[in-house]
Amino acid sequence: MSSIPAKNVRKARSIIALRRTARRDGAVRAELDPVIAELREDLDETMSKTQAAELIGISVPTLDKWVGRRIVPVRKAPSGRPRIPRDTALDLAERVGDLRDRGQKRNLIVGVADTLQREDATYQREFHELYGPGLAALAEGDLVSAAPPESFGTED
Amino acid sequence: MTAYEVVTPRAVSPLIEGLQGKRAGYREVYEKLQRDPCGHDVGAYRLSGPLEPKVCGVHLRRGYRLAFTMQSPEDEGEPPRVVVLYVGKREPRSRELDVWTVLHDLFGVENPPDDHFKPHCCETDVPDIADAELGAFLKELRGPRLRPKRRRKSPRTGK
Repeated sequence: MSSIPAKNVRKARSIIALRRTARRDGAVRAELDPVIAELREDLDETMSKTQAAELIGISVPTLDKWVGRRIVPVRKAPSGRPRIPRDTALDLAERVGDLRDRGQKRNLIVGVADTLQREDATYQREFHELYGPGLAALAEGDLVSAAPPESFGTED
Repeated sequence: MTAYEVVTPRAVSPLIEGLQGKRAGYREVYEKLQRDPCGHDVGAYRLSGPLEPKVCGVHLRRGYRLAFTMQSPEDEGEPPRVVVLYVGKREPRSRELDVWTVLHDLFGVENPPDDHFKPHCCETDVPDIADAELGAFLKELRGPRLRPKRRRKSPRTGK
């Protein structure tokens, strides 16, 4: 049995559904845009990796891989936890959903990220802010896994 | 089963890696922290003095100690976290090297004298740290204290 998605994820899914409807039907777009904007403002500017992964429909390890490959930008919370920008998560979820609807199941992110980096101004801005000169400083303060290296002996 | 995510500041990772070959028992304690940092098999105790509300200590083997705090999940579905703040050797005679003195210095507080009660870490509540305070601690860790020291060249040999 799957668990009930968190409130933020449910709200984000509603936004994506409305955005897709607005794209399909130009006649309702003008009516839907303010509703979408209002719902979007209700969400925090960032979300946890767990929420973002759930929204996009991927596992947290897969999202970690995308973050590690600098495909998905992250912001650092004061607690040191990585947070995914809301708009990035929404864009990715929407585009990945489109590809899945068209039957694509593999290599979703490569095509999506490529398109977003070329076409989407918000995505480009987030990348510039997060992966520009401030990247080293951002990464330096991160908390990382405390797992012992593989080379540790049983008594180490 | 792992119920807790166990993390550490990037600057402390080399200290953990440095335990390789020391037979300090870090791996065993790490696995226990993943299961339950409050479990009695971990043997974690609360520090005394100014760090009492936020830091617990664990005895590793061969004189090593581990200091940790905890963070509640930020969102539904996330595991709670154990943050390993520092690992090092207990060196009461050396202020520079003693794990507890270093830890207190990093928090900018005074290391209290001995006669600690060492109550169980979770006797009344779990250790808790404000995000801002953890942020300040991480910032301090990035300072010169943990940076590798450069050896001065000898004026005679030039090496």
